[in-house]
Amino acid sequence: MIQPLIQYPNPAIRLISANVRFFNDELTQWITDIRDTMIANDLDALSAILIGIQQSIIVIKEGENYIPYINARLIKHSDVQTQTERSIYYPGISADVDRYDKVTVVYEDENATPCYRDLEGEAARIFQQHFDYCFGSTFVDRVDRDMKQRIHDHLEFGLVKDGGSCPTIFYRDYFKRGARYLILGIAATFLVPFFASGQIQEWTYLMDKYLIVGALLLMIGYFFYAQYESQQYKQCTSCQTGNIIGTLALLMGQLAVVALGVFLWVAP
Amino acid sequence: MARLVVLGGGVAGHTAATFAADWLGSDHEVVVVTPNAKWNWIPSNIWVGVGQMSKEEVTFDLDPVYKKAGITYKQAKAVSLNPEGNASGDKPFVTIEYTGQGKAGKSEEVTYDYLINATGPKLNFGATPGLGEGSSLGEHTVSVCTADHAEHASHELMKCIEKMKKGETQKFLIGTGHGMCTCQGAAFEYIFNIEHELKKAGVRDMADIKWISNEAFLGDFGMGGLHMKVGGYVVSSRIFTESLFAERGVDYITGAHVNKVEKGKVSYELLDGTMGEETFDFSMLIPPFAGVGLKAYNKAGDDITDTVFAPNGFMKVDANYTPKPYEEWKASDWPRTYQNPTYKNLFAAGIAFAPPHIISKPAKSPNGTVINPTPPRTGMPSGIIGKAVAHSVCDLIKNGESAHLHEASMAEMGAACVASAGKGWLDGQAAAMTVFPVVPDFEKYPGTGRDTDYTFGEIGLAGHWIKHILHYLFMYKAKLKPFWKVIPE
Repeated sequence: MIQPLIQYPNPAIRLISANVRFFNDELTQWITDIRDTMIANDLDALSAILIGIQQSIIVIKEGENYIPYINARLIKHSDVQTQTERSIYYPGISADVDRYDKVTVVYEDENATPCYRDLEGEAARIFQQHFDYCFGSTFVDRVDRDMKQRIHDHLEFGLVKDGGSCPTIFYRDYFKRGARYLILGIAATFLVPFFASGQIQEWTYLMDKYLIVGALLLMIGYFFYAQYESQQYKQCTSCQTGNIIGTLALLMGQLAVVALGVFLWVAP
Repeated sequence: MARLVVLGGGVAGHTAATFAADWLGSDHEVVVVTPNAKWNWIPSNIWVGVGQMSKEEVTFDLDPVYKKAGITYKQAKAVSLNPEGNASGDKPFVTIEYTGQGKAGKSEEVTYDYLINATGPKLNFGATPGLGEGSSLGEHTVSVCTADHAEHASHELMKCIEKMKKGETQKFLIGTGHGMCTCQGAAFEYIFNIEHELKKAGVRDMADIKWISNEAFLGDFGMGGLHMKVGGYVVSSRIFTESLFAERGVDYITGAHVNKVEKGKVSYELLDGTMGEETFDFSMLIPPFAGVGLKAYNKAGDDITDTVFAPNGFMKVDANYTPKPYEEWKASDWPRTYQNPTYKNLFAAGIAFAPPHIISKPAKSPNGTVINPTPPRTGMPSGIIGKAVAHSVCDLIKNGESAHLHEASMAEMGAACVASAGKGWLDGQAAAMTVFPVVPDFEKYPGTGRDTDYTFGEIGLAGHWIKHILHYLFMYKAKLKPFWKVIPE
């Protein structure tokens, strides 16, 4: 069945394809779908991910035949050549890309039999292009920084970010941000003694004291929640712990400075 | 009073012994048997190997640390296990042979109530003709597997640099010395540290640097690949490492089983069955790992090594060792408690336990040569497993045999691989790559078996700082300085 092509800005392109583990009817169906889509779009090669199947399958047209390369690996390479390349994923964009002119590929056919092929010239280039799609990558990752920036600027939404959410965004940051705002709020009240005195200054002083306690509570909350959050992931706890302690020390320092200001300056 | 014997004082053994000694207090005895007089923070050896750190900076004497921790320390290597005791008694014991403490060569039988096998690997240089004999390094290549090897490597490197300064070009070949090696990460770090040092020495243009490894693709690292974030994009370790190699002008050979090493030349077989040769002036090839070759005997004195150990010499634990094809591998095949199924008072941690199968996709050349990385179980997983096993043993000692065992499955553990690509406070670089879980769980994460949302870090100076800070952090922790327990594994 003909499937719609994954094209810019669909983030699925960033998915890393899985090794095919089961050589069954489902695999045959995937290969048929890829071939049908190739015929419909007049393509010489297609990676499964480009029709939304996250499996390491590349189909390459050779004459009238459509050869599936399953779980392909590139073993030997030589003779780097630069050529202008287009990508199915980014229609209308081309860039000069270095690719090997001669490669040896090991792969499995639809019966899981290991196969070995030497590819040269255009065939080698097409294979490498589609091999990269299997690893969540397009030619954009193969060009220099300037070119990458130019492509980024040219694209309506810029280059595609990663496919999913990732925990580089932590909920503990809300605590941190809360504490920062409070500290900033306290710092803002330093202006009060310039304009007001008496009752207002006393109220401000009282409010500041509550804000200091509030910020302190948020920091304590940050510490414990961050500890809890970092334990959700069994990896790199050292780096996370370091980060948490560092962040907390920084916040403490900032709070100490404003607190000092409050007691020496804002206090009536 | 119970006695826990820990064989090995590496990351897993040291972690297990120090925590156990702390938790058990003076009511019970913890004995460490390790042939080394010094503890070595192995990940930093690559810096010793390029002359950026001294051997002393990455090692320290174990004796005072164990004295402080109340651990009985025997500088000896374990030779055999008698988990049922022998004709003269039922008490299980381990036979050790001293390597130091003034008793070198002397044998002793150490009885135990519980035993943690954390012997680490035998560096099996002998598996590749010319790479070495048995567990000793040969004359043609260098290694960074021990602090001594690394120091030797740095001397050889300096000689090459001198030659290049005199106008002689040099060829560097770094990678794995066999089709079934693990620890590609160490070789990866080493090649880029060499590249960095050569650049600093102003001789980079005189050097031809090449990578050779058993990975089916660059960036496999024995885990079937990792991923990382570069400028906000998730990138496969293959794409990332290939661009790093291209950027630094380093060529590579992958899918290679090095089958012979001669003076200045290696021969190898590729995954497609073809043979090749590569010359070198300087070569660091990681050897394959094997079990240390412990023997086991039953009460009657019959050899039961096959019962306790897998054929590769690693200890059998609570894993599913039934051989099955790749598509049937499950996360649940991997051990959770690291307890030996036959002898419940035996545990293994770190490299010493036998994994049920590899992690990367298995691969064979048409000639039948197996060329695939074996599972890494070093560093962080080692420490975590060591601690979990120590916890289990302590609970067994304190609460009796019904105590709940602590679990640490590599199928539920992530790994962060901070790989150094050059040392220096201002121009150092490191790449932080992650994978979660280490062992793919195809049931939980259909497809790749991995949670690819899970990323951390970028290449750059910050990565290097983390790596450098980790060095001090872990040296500090291992020396049991104040608050050592709060530093995670």
